[in-house]
Amino acid sequence: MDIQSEIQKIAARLLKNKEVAMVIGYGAGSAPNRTAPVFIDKEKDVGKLVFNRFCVNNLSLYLPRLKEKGKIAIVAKPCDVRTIVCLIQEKQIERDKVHIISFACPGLLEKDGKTLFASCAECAVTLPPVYDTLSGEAKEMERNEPFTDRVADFFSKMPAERWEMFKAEMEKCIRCYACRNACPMCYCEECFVERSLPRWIGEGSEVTDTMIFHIVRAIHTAGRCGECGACARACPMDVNLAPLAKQIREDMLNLFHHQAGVDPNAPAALETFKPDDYNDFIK
Amino acid sequence: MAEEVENFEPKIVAFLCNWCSYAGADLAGIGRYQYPPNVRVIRVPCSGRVDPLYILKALQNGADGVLVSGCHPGDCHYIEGNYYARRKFAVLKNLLEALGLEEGRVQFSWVSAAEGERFSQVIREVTESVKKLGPARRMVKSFEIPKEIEKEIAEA
Repeated sequence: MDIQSEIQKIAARLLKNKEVAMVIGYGAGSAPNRTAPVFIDKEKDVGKLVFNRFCVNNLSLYLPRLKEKGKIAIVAKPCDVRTIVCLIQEKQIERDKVHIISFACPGLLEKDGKTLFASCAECAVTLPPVYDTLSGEAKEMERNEPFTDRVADFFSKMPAERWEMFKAEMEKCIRCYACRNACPMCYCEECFVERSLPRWIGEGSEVTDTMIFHIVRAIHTAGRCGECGACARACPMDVNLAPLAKQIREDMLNLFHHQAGVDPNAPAALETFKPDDYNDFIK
Repeated sequence: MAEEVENFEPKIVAFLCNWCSYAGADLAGIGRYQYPPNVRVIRVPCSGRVDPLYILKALQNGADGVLVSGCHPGDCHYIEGNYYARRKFAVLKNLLEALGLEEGRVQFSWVSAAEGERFSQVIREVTESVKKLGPARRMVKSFEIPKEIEKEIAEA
């Protein structure tokens, strides 16, 4: 049985037995290579659930806002499950109030229907760290040929050149904040970019303001980012944030032996400390 | 350029924790330990209070260097504030340097309330290293009018 019909069957069963109040999943979009979120609370509607390789959104975005509805079932890719785990760690949702319908992920495709998304091509998580029901069989993720490392070029440069490359990326950003809005971990009711007292980020196109936004967002998601790539896919300007994400991920792993969203009982990396943490950089 | 660097007096913003480093600065004064006048001290309750945003805003507004100083690990007035700070700053420093900001623009130190002489030593070292880097350019906000707008103004 394919993943789509398995998801539909699981959703029908959960709704029929009143195990969950709602199923959040992917529905047909405005074109064959698009999907849109659907929220289903009646068994007869489960036919609206689709699964294909254009399920680009991270639906765990909706979990904290819908928690008053009761127990919710969610269709989640393995990387989305990592953000669900982070949300559980941070007490935004409760583990027993969410039913995770996950699957062995085949990776997502760009709109052309051929190329694997860059974040998917680099992904090693084809199975979710936790789940309630699992569909599909795990197999090795295929790779884009030729496989291109998005950050190798950036990190091979000297600092001044890296800064110029970073600045060029930042100049592309129009600060629409779609990346933040697509991110399940950016659940703050008031984001620092919108605060007016004090105003951290000026209006207008000043590039250092854009830099501050992206650097601080990277730090705010440090140790909490499930690397689902929803931010990159939401970006209308194709701003490449991979070097920031990669640096943070490596630091988390090397300095604090922390991987985001793997263990629901472990605290986030910046929420905890060890007395013998890395201290070499301090005088 | 060389001459500019030679006569360059950097502006350094120092966030000092109230209980250790600020008291250490006080002791340096009482003990008459000399240190360069390049630092602008901002007193904060704890090094853990220093948000990465403060550091970035200081750089954006033209600071040539930023120093954050707190109590030694284990000595925090709030028991563990500096431990959290240490993790946060490790990530921030590595990220800024990975993006290409000069190493040494942002520095960190532990100075206790009893280390007046050490405080003056730290300030000397930080000032020296920032002086070597030259004036900050990369993160600083530009107040220049963009060329296309300048042209529009001229035509109007």
